[in-house]
Amino acid sequence: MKKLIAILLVALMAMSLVACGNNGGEAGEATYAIVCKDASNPYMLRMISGFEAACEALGVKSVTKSPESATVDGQITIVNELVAQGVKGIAIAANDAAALEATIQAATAQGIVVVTLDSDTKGSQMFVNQAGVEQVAQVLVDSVYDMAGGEGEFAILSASSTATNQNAWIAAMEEIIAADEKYANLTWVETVYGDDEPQKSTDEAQSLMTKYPNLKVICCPTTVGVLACAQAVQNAGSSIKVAGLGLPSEMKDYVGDDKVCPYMYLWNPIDVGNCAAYMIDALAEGKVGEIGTSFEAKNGTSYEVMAGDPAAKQIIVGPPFAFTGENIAEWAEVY
Amino acid sequence: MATKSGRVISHKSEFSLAKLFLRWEALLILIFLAVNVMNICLSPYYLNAYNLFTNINNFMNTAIIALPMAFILLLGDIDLSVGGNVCLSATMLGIVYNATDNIWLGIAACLATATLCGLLNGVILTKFSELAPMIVTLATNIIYRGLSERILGNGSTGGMLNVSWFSKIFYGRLFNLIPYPLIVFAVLAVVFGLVMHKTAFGRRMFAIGSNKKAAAYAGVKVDKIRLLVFTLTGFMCGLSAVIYCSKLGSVKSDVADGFDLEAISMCVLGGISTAGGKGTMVGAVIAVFTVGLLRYGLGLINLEGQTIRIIIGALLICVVMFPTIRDAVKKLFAKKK
Repeated sequence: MKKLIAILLVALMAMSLVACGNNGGEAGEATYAIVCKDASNPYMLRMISGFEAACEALGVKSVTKSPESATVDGQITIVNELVAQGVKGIAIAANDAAALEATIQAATAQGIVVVTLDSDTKGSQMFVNQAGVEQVAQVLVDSVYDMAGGEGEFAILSASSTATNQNAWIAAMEEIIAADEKYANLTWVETVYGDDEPQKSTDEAQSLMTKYPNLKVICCPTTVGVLACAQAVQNAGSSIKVAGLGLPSEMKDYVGDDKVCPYMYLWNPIDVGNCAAYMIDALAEGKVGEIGTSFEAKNGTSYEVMAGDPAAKQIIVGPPFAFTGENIAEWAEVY
Repeated sequence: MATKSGRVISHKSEFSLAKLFLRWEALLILIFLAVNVMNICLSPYYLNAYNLFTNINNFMNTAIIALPMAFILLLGDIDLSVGGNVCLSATMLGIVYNATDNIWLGIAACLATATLCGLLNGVILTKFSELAPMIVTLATNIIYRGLSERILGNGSTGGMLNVSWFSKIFYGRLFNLIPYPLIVFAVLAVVFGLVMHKTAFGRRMFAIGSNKKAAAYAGVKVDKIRLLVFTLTGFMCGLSAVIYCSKLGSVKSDVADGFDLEAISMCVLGGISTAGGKGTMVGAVIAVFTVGLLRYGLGLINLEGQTIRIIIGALLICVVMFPTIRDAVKKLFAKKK
């Protein structure tokens, strides 16, 4: 045992020598990092490309990291690693509305700017909101109302049950439906979660079809879910219509007046990622003022600072955009 | 010569560097140091104490389970249900806390559930001792996680972080530096190490692992000890679940996925034989840090999670092949004498 300890000590000394020799290795370049929900989500990949482009324009290095599966546990590990690397800013699409708070606070304490994009969480300095929650909920409710012909059963197939953005939209949809007599004849049968995994989303869509024979519409406020659902409905030859938020390039075969998905909505994820990098820059330079004021980011766009929930502040990138049979082919080329 | 337990018995305390390096722990320490040197070279940020502790804290959940897992493997058993157990007990913590608004009741329910799950494994395996532990615990793992899925559905249970001291279990630090879970792990590691190597109970575990029948004939109460160790493992899963809840504040039925294999691979890397009767707690503890820090170092240079997995898998297989090479070298030395 003594020999073991001796060897250990000698080696430790060797290690500290190496460590001393390495002190000059600090990279001078500023780095912004983007942390996604999981590694394989095509929507996230578009967001990353926008983020990278903006970082290049700003003259900073960019780093992309994603957990192996869409867990907040994996994101905590990643943020800790980024903090340890001394990045200047982190943009994160959170997998949970609360669990990252302590980790983000620790990052902020070390002078790192942390913004959320796509999906918000407590502790974030600013949420780069792809579209206002009410706007998204309103277009989703109206699609369901329209596709169901004003009455009948519909279900929701969402992403993960802890995803902040989807949960906020679903909650807002409930309010809109409850508030207006117009929607009284719609029956919301169930909300299921496909966890943004294609297979699980397909399984959930199939079980909805078997469980509710009178189902008229499935609404999927997530790009992975809407694709899986459209495929499942088409393969089953069902008359159910699919509404929701989808990527044009993935959904081009399913969108159109005579197809499973007459029309769908989304915003440009490239813009969202792009905007997040400019927000980190604006926050780092202290350009962002109090709630109610506006400022101009380096991309030349003016943003209004609004109160965020749960983030401290938020800005909205733009309104949701409708993809129909007429414009889908054109947008499929873009993203 | 080296006994099956891995200890070196020698009448002459001659210094032999060759023999020293043939010991498993010596190899492990070398790997551990190599990982650290590699990390230091790869990233200038590695040696920041505060951040290092933050990231060590990240693998304490699994590390705490590796301790009782060492006992299990020592007995020649295996427990694949720890992931499901952590998941179910964390679920119970959330459910009971939300139902009663009392975090203490939640923690009690969590620990009780975990211990019961462990006890159930133990009872099945001792009452029906012909069953393979791998199959039984594989089945109970599915049952425990299935129960959690049944309770939570696709949803989650949360709100535990509203109790501010509860979040301190994971995020609190002694002297604003050393995270509490690490302290808990260190204390437990010493206790588990002492039990394994310095008590009659420990020697009986080695005896059972070496030869179950011989141990039974020698008067060792095999069933009693196995039952106790499985129940203890259950309890430790509960402890890990409490820390997990304190970390995340919400529980979904996918938490602690893969904990079982991670804990087992840490033990195996630490030189604890899956055939039983062989290994040291020191080895297991070094292995815990080797795997954890390797993962951290690779994360620091922003390798993808999937790539990190492949590297750790490769390391594991290289290391478990080592005894074969070692025996060949030993033969060579014996011939020379």
